[in-house]
Amino acid sequence: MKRVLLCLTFSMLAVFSSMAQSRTVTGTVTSEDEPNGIPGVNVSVKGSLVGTVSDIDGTYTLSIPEGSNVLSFSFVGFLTQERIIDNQSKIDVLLKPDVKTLGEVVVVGYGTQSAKMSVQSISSLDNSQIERMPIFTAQEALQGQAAGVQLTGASGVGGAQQNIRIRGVASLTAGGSPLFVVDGVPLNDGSSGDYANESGAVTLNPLMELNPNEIQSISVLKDASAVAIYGSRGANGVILIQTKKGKSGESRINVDFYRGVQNPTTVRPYMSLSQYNQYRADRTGDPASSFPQTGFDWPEAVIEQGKISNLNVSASGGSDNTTYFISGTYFMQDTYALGNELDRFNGRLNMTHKFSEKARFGANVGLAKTFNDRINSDNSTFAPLTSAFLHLPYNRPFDDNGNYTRLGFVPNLLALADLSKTEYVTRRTTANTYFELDILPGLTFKTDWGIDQIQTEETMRYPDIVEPTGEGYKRIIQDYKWLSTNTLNYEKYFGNDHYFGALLGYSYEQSDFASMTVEGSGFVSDKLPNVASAATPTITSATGTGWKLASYFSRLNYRYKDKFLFEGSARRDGSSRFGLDNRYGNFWALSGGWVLSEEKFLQNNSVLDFLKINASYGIAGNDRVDNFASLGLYQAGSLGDYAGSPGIYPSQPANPTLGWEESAQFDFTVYATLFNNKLDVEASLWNKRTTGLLLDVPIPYTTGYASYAQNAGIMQNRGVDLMINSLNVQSSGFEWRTILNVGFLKNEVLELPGASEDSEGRLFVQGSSSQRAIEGYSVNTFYLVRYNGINPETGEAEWLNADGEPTNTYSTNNREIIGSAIPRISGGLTNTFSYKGFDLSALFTFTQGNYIMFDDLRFLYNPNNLNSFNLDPQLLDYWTEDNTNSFAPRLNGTTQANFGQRSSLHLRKGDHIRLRNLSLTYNIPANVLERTNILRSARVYGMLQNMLTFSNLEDGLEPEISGNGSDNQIQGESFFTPAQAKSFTLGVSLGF
Amino acid sequence: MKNLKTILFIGLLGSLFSCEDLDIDPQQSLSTELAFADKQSVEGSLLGVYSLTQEWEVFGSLPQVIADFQADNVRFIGSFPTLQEIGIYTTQADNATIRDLWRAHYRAILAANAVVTFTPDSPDETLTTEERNQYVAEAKFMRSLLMFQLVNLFSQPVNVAGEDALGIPIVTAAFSGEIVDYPRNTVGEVHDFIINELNAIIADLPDTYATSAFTRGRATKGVANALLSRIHLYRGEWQLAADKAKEVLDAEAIYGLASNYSFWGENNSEYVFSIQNSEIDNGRTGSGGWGSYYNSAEDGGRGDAPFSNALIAAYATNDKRLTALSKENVNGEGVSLLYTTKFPDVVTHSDNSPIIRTTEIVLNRAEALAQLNGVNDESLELINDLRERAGLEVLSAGDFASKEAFIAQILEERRKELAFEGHRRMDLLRNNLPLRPEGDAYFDASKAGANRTILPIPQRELDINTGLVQNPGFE
Repeated sequence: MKRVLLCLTFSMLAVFSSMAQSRTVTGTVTSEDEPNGIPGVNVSVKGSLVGTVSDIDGTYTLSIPEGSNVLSFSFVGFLTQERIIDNQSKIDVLLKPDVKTLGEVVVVGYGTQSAKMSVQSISSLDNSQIERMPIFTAQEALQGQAAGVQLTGASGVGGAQQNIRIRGVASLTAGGSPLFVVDGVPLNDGSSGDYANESGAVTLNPLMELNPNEIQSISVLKDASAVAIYGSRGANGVILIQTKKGKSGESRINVDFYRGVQNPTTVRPYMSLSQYNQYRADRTGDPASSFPQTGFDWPEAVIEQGKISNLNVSASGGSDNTTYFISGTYFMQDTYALGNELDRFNGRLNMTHKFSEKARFGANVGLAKTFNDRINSDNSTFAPLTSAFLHLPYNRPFDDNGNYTRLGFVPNLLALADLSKTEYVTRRTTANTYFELDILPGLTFKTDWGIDQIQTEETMRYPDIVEPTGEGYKRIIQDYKWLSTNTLNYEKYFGNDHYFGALLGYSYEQSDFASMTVEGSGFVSDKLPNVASAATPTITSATGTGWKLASYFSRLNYRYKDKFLFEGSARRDGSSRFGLDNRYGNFWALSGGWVLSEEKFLQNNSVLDFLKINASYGIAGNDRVDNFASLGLYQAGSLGDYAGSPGIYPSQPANPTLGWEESAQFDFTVYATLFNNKLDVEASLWNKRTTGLLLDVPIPYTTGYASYAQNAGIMQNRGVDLMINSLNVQSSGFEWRTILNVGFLKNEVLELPGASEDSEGRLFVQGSSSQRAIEGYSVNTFYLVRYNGINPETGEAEWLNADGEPTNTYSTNNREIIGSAIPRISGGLTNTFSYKGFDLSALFTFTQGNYIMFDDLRFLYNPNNLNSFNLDPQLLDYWTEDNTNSFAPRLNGTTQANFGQRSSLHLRKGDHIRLRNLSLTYNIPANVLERTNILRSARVYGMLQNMLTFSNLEDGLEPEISGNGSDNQIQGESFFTPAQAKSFTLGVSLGF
Repeated sequence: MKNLKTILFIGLLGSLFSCEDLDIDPQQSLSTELAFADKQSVEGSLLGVYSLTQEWEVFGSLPQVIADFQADNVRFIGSFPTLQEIGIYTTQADNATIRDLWRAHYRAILAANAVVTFTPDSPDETLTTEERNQYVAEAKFMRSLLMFQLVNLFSQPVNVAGEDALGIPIVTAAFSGEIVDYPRNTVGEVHDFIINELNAIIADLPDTYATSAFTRGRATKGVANALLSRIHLYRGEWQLAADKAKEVLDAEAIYGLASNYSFWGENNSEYVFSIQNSEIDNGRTGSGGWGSYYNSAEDGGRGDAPFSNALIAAYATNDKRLTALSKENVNGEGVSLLYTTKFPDVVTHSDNSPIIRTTEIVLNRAEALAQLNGVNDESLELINDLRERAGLEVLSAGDFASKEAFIAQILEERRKELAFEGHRRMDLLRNNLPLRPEGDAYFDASKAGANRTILPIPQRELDINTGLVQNPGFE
């Protein structure tokens, strides 16, 4: 590492510049198309009235008044340029065509491109699409606003990670999340198991510490030509986030505040005490009066009205040479679940400075502290919404003297929320500084140094009433990542017709991880918060790990007459995670485009403004495997230690040939602008084929191991992304715009060599007891026994056997393929209406074609759980002679014991439409503001989140869940996963 | 000049290309080559075998609690569906708990196989031949113990289905990278393998170790003989069972009956073999553990496994095995339940896992001699020792009308002594007795030889190892 630092430092020493003063300036103004000079260009001295126009040959002469040092060159159709004079007497200027004539600029890997001239497939969001929502993390903004991006909120609990898939899942065992890059710094995403925590912030959310208010734009890179430049990390797509930058000019101050309330979108039904006693009486034959008559309504106590609020203050501005953006935010959420609170402080300072016309530097610094009070993960009886529905209705939180009771395995939540400490704090610094130098006209060198430093601190302290004698736990993680990116960028028009662009770069990235965990039990008093006071230290652990990535990359662009577009990119990555035999991987992409609207036959067409088709093909990889996945290992630690002596045990078989997963993607995109730029349509047809799929091929346990990682499988994702942006009505004062984003996706596992074989001869890899990846089917295929209902004649439950015949015998041999957890269609529809300062915006998101397994129903529908857990009220609807059309089988019949067994009884279709966001904004008119003499802008707004959901699900079942987080092999399963929150928020935003 | 600068920059950029060193070593693990490189690591690899058996699924209470609740000692009131179904005889082949149990046993067996395979070739010359032999013998003992527990769980006992009944795969090789579809050996083959292996290693095992934790917690001559005694007893080889028991009991300096029930929790002569647990090193998981099954919710456990009514009824009210080793708890509903106090550490789960106690060896010999000789003085003396410790009146030969009645009495003492230690299921099945008393809802399903008195081979294993055959009734 030292060697690397030294090398990189040398590369910066050659940078120098000089400055001085002078009074008369001459020069020539040219452009690519007019290399012999442009006549009539306005040349003015900034900050003065002095100015002139260029001659017929493009030359000018100007004397500069005292105290001025900047020349401004402007001409219709070209970008205005400013030059610092200093001691120069001759300033030649090459004017560049105004990008507006080429459309907007999009952020791409290691640079920007004209949106219309780009041959990459990218979905972009600007800050207006982010700011309209009371959201905690930026991912939430992507839902329904980027075609081809499927996003599922993991749960309704604060701080839960959003589960994002860009153009399908491209892996089984390696991470499936996209790479997040903020201002050029790829973020640690905690995809390794090293980030595991007790409280179940499912996995580290890479964007948790980034405030949506600070974001200028989000680019979702989708096709191979966009992601190949990110090489071994591009296969899952890349999300580039630019934070806001200041602009030269007056300083502007913005204050934004909102506040709201939250409730669950749906609450599941549960038996009251009297219902439970009735059911128990029916089951046992004893009278209901013989059972406890006093109890407690746990769900009512655990679900409360949540609160949300956010205050953001920012300032931006700058001089000709220096700009700044500074922002601070406090976000607070007290969710609807008892004992689940979240707050976050963010600070950001972004600045740029010009040393000279040729040398610039900049820095982006983001600081955040997130405090998450969370009792426990959802898949735990310590989670409020899990245990509330499991508690027997006669369990009471207080004894007759008003003291908390100890309830054991399903704990006393009120005591837990009141007396325990369950905190998860993250502190994160994401920052980069860069230096840019124009070496030659068109040739720019940039060196960029970034860090992503994370510290997490998890503190648990359970009181005696929850864990006898008390228990304390603390885990601190530090992950320090730094990187250096060095690029040469070249851009030039040769003659009128040939545009040439080139990027050449090297980057080095290294992450050092350390953790420390302590746990102890036996406290004299609940008032002693720290593990140091524990009589028995039960865990004392410190660990370390790390990874390194070295990369070379390049991109070449060529355009002919801005009509034929070509791009090629390549990257070579070396990663410490792979065995010596496979340490380096090569990734590349080629793409080409044709701007049809430039052709004569489409010119002067009154309907069509712009039409482009482009196609790309290339390969990206996936490096999200364990840091030492290729080595045969004996692990030390408590699983090896015995009787106080150190020991080791075999933990992983060697796999020296372990290599990269590679996703080859073909993309064909049509982009058109019609009706005087009132309608934008973009449609992409794509096919992504992942080979060398890292497969944890299950091997018989008689090998001593569970699985053996092999690069064996092949998986395919195919789909269509469609974006329509239409300005439907634009008349005096009224505007109506509609944006539709929709993705169609089909996932298919093509080959799983070495995997298990089912009774039909299909190869599969099991994800959970309910779903598996099956050759020829989706990676998340539900494979379950089909439930057939209660036979009205016999009152017994029936399942279908392998031949589709009803049977009273439950057998896992009768499992069948039922459906996939992956939606076929997902997207969003936004309608915005503006009228005289009022903006009304409605975003509907929709999902079709997926199934959801409600694993919790196996508990709540299970008659065997009488006296263990509370149950679903439908169990009271059991079969009798008088009630032959029932939900549950006859009491004490032969199928009652198996009624709770896993089957399609617990599976639902996930199709739904949700009014994700409805906002109404009023912008106070300028003439009113002028009278205040302070306010530059002011708006008030109200927002409704998740207020309406249309689906076939019964009450209490939430369609938007991902109980197992981003695990590729377990999607669409819920275990009491809290429903999404619906919220009502009011806010005000003031500009000074 | 400008060109010079350009070249300089490109050159410097190019020089970075040789800057990287991408090697990182793991910090919490050793590569396999280092695991047998020297004496410390060889011993560490051996201790790792014992350590893997601390797991919940091995000797950390799971198989043991199943044995007691599938039989008639425990009334299982827990909520784990995978355990419930075993208790109500509806076990399915995809039961995830059984899958994990199978996995954890073979993981430990393969760790033992690696010690057996690699220890003789360790390059450390300070490792003597005797030490090498002892380490190998210890590893062989552990895999025998593990295979015996597996064959008892997954196979019909030999008295029910004979020597040719489906057993479990005997795996003795270390994992080489090649995947072998091991078929199931017969029960007779598994028993033969264990008996031969144990007899062969006794000479290489020590009598005791330097610390009492190791004497009670690692393989010794005594524990090898004790396990042989149990196997022969299960096989109805009475003379061998009695002889092997005697070899253990003759080592009076090491083994002997404790004088009262305060021996629990210490490494003393009552224990022939117990897996050593501590506050910081035990097999408890969120799913279960000795302390959490056998302590009430109010005391901080799961409270899943109170005494069954049948077990309470079996004890005389003044039996110290009841009065000194149980605790009453009134649950949230006002119902009184009785829990054992054999595993009191519900907080840090440091209770050792009792595998073989001197008491069992005494009972083995008493039972074997009774089978050979009918009502006899030595057997009477042995069980009277236990009854006196329990505060009960001694029995005499005149109390028994027949050999069968005498054997029934010995089995009854065995039940009361060893309750909650995982013996009850096999003690009933090997005597062709149903696991549940008459009148129990599952009486028929629990008869010796019934399909669901044993566990199914995990579906996962059947799916990927075509050499395996499922037990009848689970197909």
